[in-house]
Amino acid sequence: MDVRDYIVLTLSIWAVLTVLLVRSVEVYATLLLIGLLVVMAVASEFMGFRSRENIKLLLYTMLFIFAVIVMKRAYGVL
Amino acid sequence: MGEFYLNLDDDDAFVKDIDKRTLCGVSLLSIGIVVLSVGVIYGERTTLNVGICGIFIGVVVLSLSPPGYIKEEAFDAMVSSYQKTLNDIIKNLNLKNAVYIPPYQNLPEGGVFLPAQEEFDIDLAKLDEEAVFLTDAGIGMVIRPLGAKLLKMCEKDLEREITGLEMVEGCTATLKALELADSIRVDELGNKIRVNINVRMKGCSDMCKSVACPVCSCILLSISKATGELIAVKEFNHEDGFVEITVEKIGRVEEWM
Repeated sequence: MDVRDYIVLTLSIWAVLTVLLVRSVEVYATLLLIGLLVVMAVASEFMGFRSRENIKLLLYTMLFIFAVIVMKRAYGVL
Repeated sequence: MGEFYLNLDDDDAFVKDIDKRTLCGVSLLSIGIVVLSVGVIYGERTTLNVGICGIFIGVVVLSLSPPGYIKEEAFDAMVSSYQKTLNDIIKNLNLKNAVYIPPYQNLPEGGVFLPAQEEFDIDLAKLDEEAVFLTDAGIGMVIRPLGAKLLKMCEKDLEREITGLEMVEGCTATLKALELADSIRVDELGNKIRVNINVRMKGCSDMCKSVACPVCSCILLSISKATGELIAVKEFNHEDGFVEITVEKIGRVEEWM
């Protein structure tokens, strides 16, 4: 197993564990984003250039979803 | 023997390995999309989350698909004979310790000069990429650094060129990811630089003082590039994968023209 396998394994365990514990879609998406951010902070330098760029794309997409969730909540409060 | 892999650019020879990951990723993604659709249709939150989970893992697997790898045994079998031949040539010609030349106009990838005598002179203005055996510009041999390509990979991962000594240690991440070295430490001691490398590659031996293995070569070339000076290998100690190399800065490229 190389570093990439450990990253996939960690994120998979996190995704499955949280899906069992959380019912809200919004909270689940946020938890996935947190998991991805933590993994990126810890292991991005071991990923290699191409993989890092690919994961960044996923990260930006999830940040956009997070922004939509935040705006939706803010709109709900207002 | 442990699993040891070398990253290669040529993907074609390893299509099978890549296909397994792609297949796995695409399957997870497809299942995720189907489950997500079912969740949306029936308004089931848990099903929606499971769908998102499948898509997420599928995208991660596809994003982290590695380029081709070869096993340690195959790598050793291919490279060791080349290295041995080169070492025999160096021994027969009685060439001395290597001098690393940083990349410059005539040698864009840098070079390794192996002088015939301890006291040497070299005219870098007369060198070019085609020159190997020198009799005019200096007496000795000039070869391409075996770690030049590895250095390019390090720079690609660092997302910038190596311009300072402190950046040399940044190569650790790439070499660690490739399982070639565990740590690199660079200490500047006046005009000399001491490098400690924990090498995992088997090809590293005492011959690294003249024809360095790709890992040592990559580090020494990066030091030469970082300082912008020619560096001469003065001492080389190798014991149980721990390598200590002492090099001396001997002047900028312009001073040797």
